[in-house]
Amino acid sequence: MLASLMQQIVSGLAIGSVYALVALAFSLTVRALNQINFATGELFMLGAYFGIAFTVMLGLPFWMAIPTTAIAVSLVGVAFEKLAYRPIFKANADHPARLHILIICSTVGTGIFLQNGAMLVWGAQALPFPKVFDQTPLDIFGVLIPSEYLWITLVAVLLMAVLNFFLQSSWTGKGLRAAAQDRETAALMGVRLSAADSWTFGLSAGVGAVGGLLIGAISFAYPTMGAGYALKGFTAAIIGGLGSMRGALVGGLLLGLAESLVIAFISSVYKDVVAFSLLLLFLQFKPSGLLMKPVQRRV
Amino acid sequence: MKSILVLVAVVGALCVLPFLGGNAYTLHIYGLVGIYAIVAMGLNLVFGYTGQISLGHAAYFAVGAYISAMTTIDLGMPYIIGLLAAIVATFILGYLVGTPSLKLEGAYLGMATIGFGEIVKMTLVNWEDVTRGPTGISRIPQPELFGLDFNTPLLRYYFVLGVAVIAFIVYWNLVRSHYGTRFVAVRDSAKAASAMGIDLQRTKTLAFAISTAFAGVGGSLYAHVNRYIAPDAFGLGESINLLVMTVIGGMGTLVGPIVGAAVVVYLRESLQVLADFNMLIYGLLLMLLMVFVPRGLIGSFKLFWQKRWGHAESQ
Repeated sequence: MLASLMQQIVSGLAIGSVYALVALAFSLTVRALNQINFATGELFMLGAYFGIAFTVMLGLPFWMAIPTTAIAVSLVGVAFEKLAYRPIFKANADHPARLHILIICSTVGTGIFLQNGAMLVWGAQALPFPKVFDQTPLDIFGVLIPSEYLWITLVAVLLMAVLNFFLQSSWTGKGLRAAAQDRETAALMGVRLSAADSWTFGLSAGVGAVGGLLIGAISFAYPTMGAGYALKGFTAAIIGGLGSMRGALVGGLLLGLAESLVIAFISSVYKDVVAFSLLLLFLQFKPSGLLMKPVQRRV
Repeated sequence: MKSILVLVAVVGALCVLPFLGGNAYTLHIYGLVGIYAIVAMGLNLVFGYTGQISLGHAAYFAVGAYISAMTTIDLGMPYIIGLLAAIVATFILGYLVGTPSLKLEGAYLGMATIGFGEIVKMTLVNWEDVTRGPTGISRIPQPELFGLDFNTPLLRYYFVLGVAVIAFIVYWNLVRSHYGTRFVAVRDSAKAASAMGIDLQRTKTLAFAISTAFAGVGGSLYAHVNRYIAPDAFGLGESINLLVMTVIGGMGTLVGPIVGAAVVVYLRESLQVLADFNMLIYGLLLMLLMVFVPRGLIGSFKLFWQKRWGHAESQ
């Protein structure tokens, strides 16, 4: 019992760290642009397919496939920003309510496009990923733990650390944070806003894609895989605090843990109910999440 | 007066429409346009006039459809009772859900409505004793009113048209009433509206509940005209479709949602010939329309008219 509980917790934390990556993908665009990218799940899905393409077709080792996938999907994200976000933002910047709805529709449209594009290119059936992780489980104090879960958690946390370092320490990262805080002032200080928006979409796409790659590596890639993870990732972002990096990590791990405990003690049928209930509870009672200060309500 | 004449002329034209080479299939499609137009009109009250977001309206469409179907089948009531039950149930549900949700804004409100929509869909799938689960409800009786059976495609088309015209008149009067003015005030400046003594929360919730009742009417018609309903048809994709209709037609314009419903139903039917490329093109078109026609077809037309003739068409 204890051993299986431990296994559940480890797998919960591993899946949770992927939720954290998706949460971060959402948080990046929300923090910088106050817009939700509804194609986040589809960029996640592209990560899994690009991962297969790079490891199987190009024969890259898995550790090389991670950065190449991240960069390739980031470029998709940048193209996305230039084609489906910027023209709409420019034409409707003075009309925030309409802008919100137009961005929802255009990102949903892009998501439908990517999902069906993937279906045409790779087919509707689930595509198996080559076995990249060592299949012999690790023996930790008599508890057998599949090593792939530890790898996933490690890669996800490492990626978040790298991204954090980039945002805190590099010139580009500082510019991005400045633009997220106050666009006008940042522009006056010499931050090119259009470049900052491209970076935001690129980073968001790349982070989500690595999440998809990691999930693909322990299961399959299929065109509709993004929707469920997008919803879980968004829930994680709300739990931790939408727009916060630490919030994404905390929210993701908590959600993964909560799901694994529900599977261990109740039933796997109710796994998805957990996420929905937490989403609605947090939105209703604590929309700012655990780690963010409540937003000042105007009027 | 002029606008009433236009309305009469349009309704007259729609009455003759089936005789311009309509078969059972085209009549079914025209009926669908009418049904979706009703739902889109309701959504326009929320999106276009009050400036709020809902990404879960398929849930109310579903509740209307299920309540109406179950009232007529399981309780053996006449159709009109099913329709009224659908309206009342969706209005109350919209009011109950809207009261806490509409405190949220923008993206948060969007996600809360998605969450509620998914919960309704899960309930439809899992509460098998009542909803018959994933297989759905089939052999739903055709609409009938006071002994008159709408048992041919043509009669069903006229029935949908009749309900849609009534819905339009209600919607039109609502927009022109002081409620409509309050909706627009909340959209344009919540601060100013609140200072003028408008209760923001009540106004938003009222707009939301009325729009969910419109979705309930549409759902009831859908159930009895289509005669088969299943939870699959009422997911997030359907909510997005309903939103797209409102946006493509023109948010905050009177007839935008009707045009939008026609365009989306037509697009989805005609893109079927593209087989596998169907949804790919639909996604691309959706994106391109947001870039090039952000005000929607009617909104852009009005703008063009203003530039060309230098004055605004009323409404």
